[in-house]
Amino acid sequence: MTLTVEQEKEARRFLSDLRQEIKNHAGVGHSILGRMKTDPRSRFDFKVLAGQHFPLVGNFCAYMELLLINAPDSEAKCWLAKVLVDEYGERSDGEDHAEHYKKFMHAAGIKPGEEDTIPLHPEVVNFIREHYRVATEEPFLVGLGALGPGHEWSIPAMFELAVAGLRKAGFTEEEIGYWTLHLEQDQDHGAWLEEALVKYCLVPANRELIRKGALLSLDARERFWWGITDKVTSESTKKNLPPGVSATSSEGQLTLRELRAKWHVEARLKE
Amino acid sequence: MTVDHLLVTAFGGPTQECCGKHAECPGQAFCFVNGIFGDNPARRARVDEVVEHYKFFGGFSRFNEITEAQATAVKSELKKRGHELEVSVGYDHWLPHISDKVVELADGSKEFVVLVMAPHQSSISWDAYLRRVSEGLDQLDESTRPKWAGVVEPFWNKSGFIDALAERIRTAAKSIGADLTNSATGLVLSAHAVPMPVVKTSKYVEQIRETAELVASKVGATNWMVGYQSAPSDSKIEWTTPYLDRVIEELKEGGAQKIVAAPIGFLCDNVEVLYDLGVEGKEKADELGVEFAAAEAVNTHPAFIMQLADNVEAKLKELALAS
Repeated sequence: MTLTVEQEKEARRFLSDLRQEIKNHAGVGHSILGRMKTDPRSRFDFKVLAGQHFPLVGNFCAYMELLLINAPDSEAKCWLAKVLVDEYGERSDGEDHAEHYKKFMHAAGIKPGEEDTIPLHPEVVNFIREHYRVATEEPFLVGLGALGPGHEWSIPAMFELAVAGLRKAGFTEEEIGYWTLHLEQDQDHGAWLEEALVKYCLVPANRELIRKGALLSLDARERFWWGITDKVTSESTKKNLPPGVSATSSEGQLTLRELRAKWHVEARLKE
Repeated sequence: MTVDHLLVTAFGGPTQECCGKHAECPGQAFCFVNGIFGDNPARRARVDEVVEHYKFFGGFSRFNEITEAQATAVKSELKKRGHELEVSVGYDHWLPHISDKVVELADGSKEFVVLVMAPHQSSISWDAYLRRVSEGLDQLDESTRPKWAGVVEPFWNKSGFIDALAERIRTAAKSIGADLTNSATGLVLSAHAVPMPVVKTSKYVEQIRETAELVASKVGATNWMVGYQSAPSDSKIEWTTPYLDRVIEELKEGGAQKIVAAPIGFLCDNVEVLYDLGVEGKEKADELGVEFAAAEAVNTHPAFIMQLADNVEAKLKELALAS
């Protein structure tokens, strides 16, 4: 399809506005991230954060794969496939991102084998559930908005702040490789994405679907960061105090292992 | 070893003191609010919006001054009861920081209890202040670390707190000639809004509800509602509702001609109470043509101070028995 100059200009204007909206979203600007630079941060904080963040890392490929199946054309499939190849580990010495993340978890103090045994805040579970829903039940462009701009344009801004906190907590560059890798890779993914998105942004209805997806993802992200704040604060309180003093309870919270046993993700023919 | 120190912990508010975080001072109110949201360009507009609320009152808050008066009054009451405790006050978001106050106790002989100045419990208030105590302890080695003996029980449903709130409400009602027992007077019982992900793990909402029921019953109010205030305008997710402005509308729609609003979720007249409830609440009521009075927070109300002293004393007795 050949675009007119005006069509391309309008599409790029929308994408530029969307980038700005994402950058200023309260999910990207959550105080737990902003305070990485200003507050003291310890390895223990990141041990708690890692246990909650790992399930997102471990499920991202599955949302992308489900979206890939529903992609309407080869260009969209190519973008999704390129991102997936990175996620599978092509630029991570053969380790997929979840495996790479485990190295960080171990450096933060989580024992090998215990990565999926940590009770998860309900908003961690909701984040994953929402992205499976968007990738499978919403129109393709909503899914693309969520996993494209909603992730690739927000992660570099969020991770830049997280990396500041990680360095302050004393992690080495090797230990935080997962985070710094994403600063670089997601810049690339974001740029590829912008090119792939232009052709879908020619009509207002499509633009709305993409924006809707991005905002659904970021709203889930804002809830997720509040869940992390809740966990990090309460776990560090419990660390030095007898049971019962914290205001919070993790009663009924499921682990990733329990979720995996309970959930069944499938793509199948529906007539 | 026995408890010899009471550490009072609270949120904090900007004073004339310089936080020292910036080479060139952008103003204490900015430093304070920016410290809450963190150094993040994405939230700059919200930071600027809140800073304006502080500027409305000259750029500072009486939060710390009132909290220190509360602490002094509790110390004095405990002394009358035979408990000679050193008392210090530390803040989550302003000087002196809670963790620094813990470090100051590092001569190896101190044993302290913590009083959390938050009437209702959630991770972002109650646990957040206690986390700062932990941070202070983590800065010390075993030999100098003071002993953290315990945390004073919360007081959301305790009679002294309820009595103090009730008296503040009666005073406010009197100022506009409102009869709280008449349904033509609406009573708004206000607390800080909390994001729903945080509510899921704590009893914050239930505790607010219990305080509200006890206070409403105490003053004989028949037409009352809980209203949540001060949720950030740029957040895209659900916070505890109904919001204060909607509650004022609902009370008016239900026939209220006068509205009394009381900050049951706050312990002092900080800027959120004075601005979000006092100024914005009144603006909303004026817009609807309803007479409005905001009650003072409990501040240093004698019944509240007695309650705090009761709770500290109960903790001291419990610890003495345990030892």
